[in-house]
Amino acid sequence: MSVAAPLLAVRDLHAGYGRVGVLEGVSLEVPEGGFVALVGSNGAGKSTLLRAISGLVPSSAGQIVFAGEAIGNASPARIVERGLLQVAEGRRLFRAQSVRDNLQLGLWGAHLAKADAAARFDRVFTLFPVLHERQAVRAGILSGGQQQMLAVAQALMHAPRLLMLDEPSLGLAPSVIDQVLDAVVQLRRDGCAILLVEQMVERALQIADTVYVLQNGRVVGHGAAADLRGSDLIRQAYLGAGAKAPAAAPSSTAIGIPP
Amino acid sequence: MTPSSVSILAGPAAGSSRLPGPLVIAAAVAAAISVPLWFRGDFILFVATQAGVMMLVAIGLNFLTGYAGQVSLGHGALVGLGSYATALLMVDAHWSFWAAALAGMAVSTVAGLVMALPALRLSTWYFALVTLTFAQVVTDLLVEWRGLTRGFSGIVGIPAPTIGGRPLTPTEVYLAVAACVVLAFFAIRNLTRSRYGRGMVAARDNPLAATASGVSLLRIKLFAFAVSAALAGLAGAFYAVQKTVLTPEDFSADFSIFFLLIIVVGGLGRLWGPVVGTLIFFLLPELLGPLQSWRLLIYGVILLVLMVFAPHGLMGMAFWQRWRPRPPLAADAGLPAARLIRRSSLRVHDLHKHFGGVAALAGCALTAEAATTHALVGPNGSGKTTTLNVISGFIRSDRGSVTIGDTEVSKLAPHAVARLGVGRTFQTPKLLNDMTVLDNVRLGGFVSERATALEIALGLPRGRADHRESSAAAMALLRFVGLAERANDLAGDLPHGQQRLVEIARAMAGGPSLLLLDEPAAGLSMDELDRLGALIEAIVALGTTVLVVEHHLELIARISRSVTVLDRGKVLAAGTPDEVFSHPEVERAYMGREGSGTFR
Repeated sequence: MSVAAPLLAVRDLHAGYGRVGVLEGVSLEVPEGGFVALVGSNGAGKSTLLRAISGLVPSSAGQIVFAGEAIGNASPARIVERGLLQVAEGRRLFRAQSVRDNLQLGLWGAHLAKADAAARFDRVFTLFPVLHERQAVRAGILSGGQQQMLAVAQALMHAPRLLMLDEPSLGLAPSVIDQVLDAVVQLRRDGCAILLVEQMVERALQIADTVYVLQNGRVVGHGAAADLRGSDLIRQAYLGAGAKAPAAAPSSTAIGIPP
Repeated sequence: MTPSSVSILAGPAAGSSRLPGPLVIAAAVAAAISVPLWFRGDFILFVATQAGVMMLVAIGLNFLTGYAGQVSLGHGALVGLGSYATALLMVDAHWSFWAAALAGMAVSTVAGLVMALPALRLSTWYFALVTLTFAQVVTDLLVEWRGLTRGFSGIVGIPAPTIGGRPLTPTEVYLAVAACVVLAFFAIRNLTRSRYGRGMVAARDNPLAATASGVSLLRIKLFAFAVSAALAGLAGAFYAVQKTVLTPEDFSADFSIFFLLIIVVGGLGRLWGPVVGTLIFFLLPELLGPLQSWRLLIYGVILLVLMVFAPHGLMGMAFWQRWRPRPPLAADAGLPAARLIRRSSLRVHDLHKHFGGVAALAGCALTAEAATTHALVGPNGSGKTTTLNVISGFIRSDRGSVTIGDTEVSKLAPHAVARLGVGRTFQTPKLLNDMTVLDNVRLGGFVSERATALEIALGLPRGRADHRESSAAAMALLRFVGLAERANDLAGDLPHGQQRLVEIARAMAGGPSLLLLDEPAAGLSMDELDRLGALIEAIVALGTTVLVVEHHLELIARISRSVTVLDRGKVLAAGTPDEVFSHPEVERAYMGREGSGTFR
């Protein structure tokens, strides 16, 4: 992409839970303002990689450099402070707090002027009208899909330098998935780099610049998303050996969302 | 049939040591029991007998607190009741020890149930407080009810147990206690490895998963309490004849807390925990006679050291994990799930449910023919999960009916619905993370196992057959979903997608007529999606009716016979997948495109 140092560089990272090693030497780069998708079957280590970058899983070897600073041993709080945020998988919300309070917490540390904050609220409410409707409701009593919307919306409130999303489409209706992915594209246009883990691999390949394929805790290949679409690498590593080529997905050019 | 070809049996994981054989263990236990007999004089024997009595109580309390998760601070009082009942029947009514001991156990059991019934509705810590109060009340009763208990002066001259008119010697009493401890140990071991043990741990760690598997939370906790109280009563009977004098001070609140200390230090929920705990916390200080006055200090130091180095108790240390039993992944005898699945249709009529001011369901209705797949789709928040919760009994509807086969189930408790043959999964998999994958699946067979608690505790043929069959059935199901090689791993170590498959296997273990799947495809990769589709088709071929809530329309179109679309709690459309997905309203409300005519 550019000759400048990447925003995030992961080199030969090893990490796991207890004695179980999950990542066995992963290297990956996200350039400033870039959009990187991470694909691979379940258990390949995608979520573990995101959690290791966020400081939630300790790494046993390797290096993580974010914006020129080694963050391999930094606390999660410190990493967030530097502008690297993650939306966790599995709808981790403050269940007893209202929808609005959850969104407000998404602004934590963003240091925005009041007007800018209001604009952020407008943006996510345009994206997810149902959250606007139910903003006074406790997050815990939303439906599963609405909780997922809230988790994504919470992440979109913050404009970090790098946002990592772990399966934002999980449990969402098809129409809502389009909106969420459009919002991610818009966020990237505003200058935020994106690292996206997504099972809907065709969609991820459409919107990302670069793709890394993870298999059994190792990167088995990477390249420009456009080159990898329909390639054997993706098919074998991700769709499983012997899978038939997926039908060409309807080309959906990203539609800008209302300001 | 099997959706995956991966079914290579993995051997026991490297690094795990073999368990010593049963003969070696029996010899070691016999040797340990004989140790006090080597010494001259009655003191060692007296202390050893008392340690055996303590062990009995601790084993029972560990069953209740360690496995069922109920903290009781009233066990000392239950021992006291068993003791007093035995002693009074022997001294005043001249009963034989054996009859009196049985009566003592009965008294403790009834008292334990009386204490537990109201308290089980409370949270853990309130329950503990109630039991503490119970202990206090019992001690006061023993003092104040002078007519019966003789107050402070207590009961003296309790005779030794007799066999055929001949009183037992202290050595024989010791051996009787030792035999009871060994028996109790094996009974508890058998129970904890049976559906009762799994049900108890599930009720403790994941009540939703337990209920969905047909476990009645109240009943299983009462069961644990009854077993535990009966053991306390038995211990009390021996306590009485061993001490020959009983006073109310023997059963103070400290006495109750002492047992909790023993099992926590020994390792909560570990089979050997109460044994090791008693040896260290009772026997050791007793034998350190000259250091009596230092006793409390020694206790304190041991506790502090353990707190740092063994937070899960001595038997909870990682060292022992090497001996974690890893049952061989036995060959299974075909698919037992196929044996007795009753084919039933599902009819849901006019369901209404309000949460506060929000109408989650406003006339939801659907029909699924027997042994077909029916899909329930709709925008987020349209009431799909609520419908599943109403069908499985987790939520009671305000109005409407749910009929499975010919049975109306909408007024039943969730565990009762599960018993009727309704299995379900959850949007986020609810597995017992600290249990093996195999045991998680076996939990699902809770309703289909037949052996009684007594048969299991005594290791009778039917109990052992259940154990074997449920293992084989669970293995077969794991092979069915393609996870046989993960059977001995802890469920919490599995990636998300595999956890979903384990949950489906668990739901199938009960041989359900109706299987409810809540977004089974969420988070699955494409090859896993293919396997899921094949798996659901295979489940339907067994005769189970499947109701699936899912957003993945391609999958739904492939596997389902009929589809119902919900919007705001009402039926927007119903029919075959083709009819429904080309419905203009559905395309607008759900897929967010205008008449493209195709779906992903």
